Amino acid sequence: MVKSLVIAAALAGCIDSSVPAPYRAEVLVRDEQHHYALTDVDLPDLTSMSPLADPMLRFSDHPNFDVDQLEDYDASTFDAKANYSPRIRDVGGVAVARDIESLLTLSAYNVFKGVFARAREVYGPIDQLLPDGGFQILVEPKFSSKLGSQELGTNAAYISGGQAFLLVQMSSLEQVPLGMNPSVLSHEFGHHVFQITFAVADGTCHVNSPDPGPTPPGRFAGTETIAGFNEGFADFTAFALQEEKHVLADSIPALDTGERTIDKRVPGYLDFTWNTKDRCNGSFYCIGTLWARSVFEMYLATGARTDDIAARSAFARTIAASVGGIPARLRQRGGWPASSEACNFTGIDDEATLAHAYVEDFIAGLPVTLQPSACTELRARFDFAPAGCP
Amino acid sequence: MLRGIVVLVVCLLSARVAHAQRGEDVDRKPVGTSGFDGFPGFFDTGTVDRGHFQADYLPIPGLRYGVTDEASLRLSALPLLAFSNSGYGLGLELRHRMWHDDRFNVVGTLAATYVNFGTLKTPGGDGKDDIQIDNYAITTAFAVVTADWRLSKKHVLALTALAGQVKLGGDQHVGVNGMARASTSQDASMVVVLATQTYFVRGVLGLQWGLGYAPYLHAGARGAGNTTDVDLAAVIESAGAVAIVPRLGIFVRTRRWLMGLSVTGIIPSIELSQTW
Repeated sequence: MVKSLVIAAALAGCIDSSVPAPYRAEVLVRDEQHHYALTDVDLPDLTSMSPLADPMLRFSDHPNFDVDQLEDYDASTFDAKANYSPRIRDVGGVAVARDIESLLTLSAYNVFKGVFARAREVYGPIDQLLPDGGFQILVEPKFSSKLGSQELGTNAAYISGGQAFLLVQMSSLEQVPLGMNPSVLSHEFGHHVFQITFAVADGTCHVNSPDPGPTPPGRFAGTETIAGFNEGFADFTAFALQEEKHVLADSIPALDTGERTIDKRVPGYLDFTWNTKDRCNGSFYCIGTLWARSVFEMYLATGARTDDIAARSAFARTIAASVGGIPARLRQRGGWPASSEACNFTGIDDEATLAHAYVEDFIAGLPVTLQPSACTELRARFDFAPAGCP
Repeated sequence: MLRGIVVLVVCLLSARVAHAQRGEDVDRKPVGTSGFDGFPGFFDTGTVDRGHFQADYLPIPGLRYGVTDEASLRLSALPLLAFSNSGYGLGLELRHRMWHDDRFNVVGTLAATYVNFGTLKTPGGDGKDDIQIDNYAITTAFAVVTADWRLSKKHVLALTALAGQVKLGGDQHVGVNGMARASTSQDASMVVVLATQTYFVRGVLGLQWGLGYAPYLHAGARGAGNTTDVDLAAVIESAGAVAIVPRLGIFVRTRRWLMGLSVTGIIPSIELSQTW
């Protein structure tokens, strides 16, 4: 009888062990050959295993968000304390996950720490690169409203302006879980870098703001075209941080059509330009890929090796600085159509107009030494002659 | 004379006691008849007598057999068609009259269907890959309770509560050359309450009207880890409407046949059944 109760309780997860600090855990780790293996690692920054937290990361357990209340969200929307506790057992002082979700979450924690360390190395002094309040990590969140609910899968995400990352349900499509793939989490961190450079400069639109006119705060970041450039910047960040040329290659090779590869030397690379982007199925992502491919070739044109972390870092900082200056230059252009509704910025019908402006203003913000290669690469992919280029 | 009456009363009382002592149910009373007797449907308390059959030709073909006076078992014919496409399936319905007296009936029905159609393949269109889904299956499960009040042989009021789910899904080929599989499904779950009034003219021509209300009506879609659940009742409510649907029906029955036309909400139905 007692034995049965113990077995039942164990199956129900009632007998979770705790492990002593400083913490060690068995997690999935990627090596330089992109092989993934269970490895015991130290987690020196971790201040609490249950709930999982350190000064920079707070893990939230299956939070439920009311979509109707997320319209005007900001970082305060995601400032909840950690409440996610991985289900673990103590094996010789090492926290070993009892289930896949716990394994992936502990692995993600370890990967995030690596991404942050590399981001400090690459981007250095950018303000709010790692915000004072840290990030909230939403483990398999649910988004609901009066009309229904949604849980996401086969993805990871960054909530722009929310200083929060999402780890969602994995699926049968994932060969390596997206939520603990260092390249994918570096891509997501790239969205944060885009946020603190481009989006902060663009400003934040609030749904209750008055009639926004043609260039209110957030005018450009909310458009699909800029969302595409945001994705491209995130893919480039994965290269800057991890030397990654195709962020999805490890995790979902079955979905790899070659259209996200930023290096044309990679087998399976799908070539397309602005005029032929119908060949690319990724909608606005394709715009970003054109930009990321151009910037990657610009990097190679400097003569640096892709595995030169110092060169990648210097180049990445230059790129981020130029991107951060784009919103001001877009505003100076003027002539943007006013949107009819606050924060509804889908009114730039001609996406080429905004894309061309973005490309030109990106080139304008680069050092003159990089502008020739930028002109060459961006002209070739966006099928137009950027102003100011020879 | 008085002695005779006393003896008669005593005899009648003792006869009733003896009847009960033989183990028979003294509460059993004849079930009041209605136009649907012998022709069970989802929204009535009709049953098939023990040892008798009912063949449904429309809308969902099947064969029902009266296992006892109170219980019948129905085998749905449509799932069997899946065997012709290298699939398989089975649809069963168990109906049991849970309680009755001479005017009231309560009947419960459990119905479940599983049909695996095997592999479905449809052209992708626009030069895209074909859509291929392995183990494409439909699963349905319903629990229904119907209570009726037979005001007369011609006139029946019925109240039906139905809870169930319909689910479609399979393993879809996705990715480059369809090399990956994603388990995908769509489902609808519901709780429906339907009140009907039926009047049979001369026991032959049945006229039915009713109102149904769906307090719980959800639709869901799942695939590649994504889960979406939509509260259709709330959607209807948010549009300023209420999830109420009317039902209208007209039936003609003979001793062996029942034919009907009905509309529930916007869903029309032709009903044709035979019993023997």
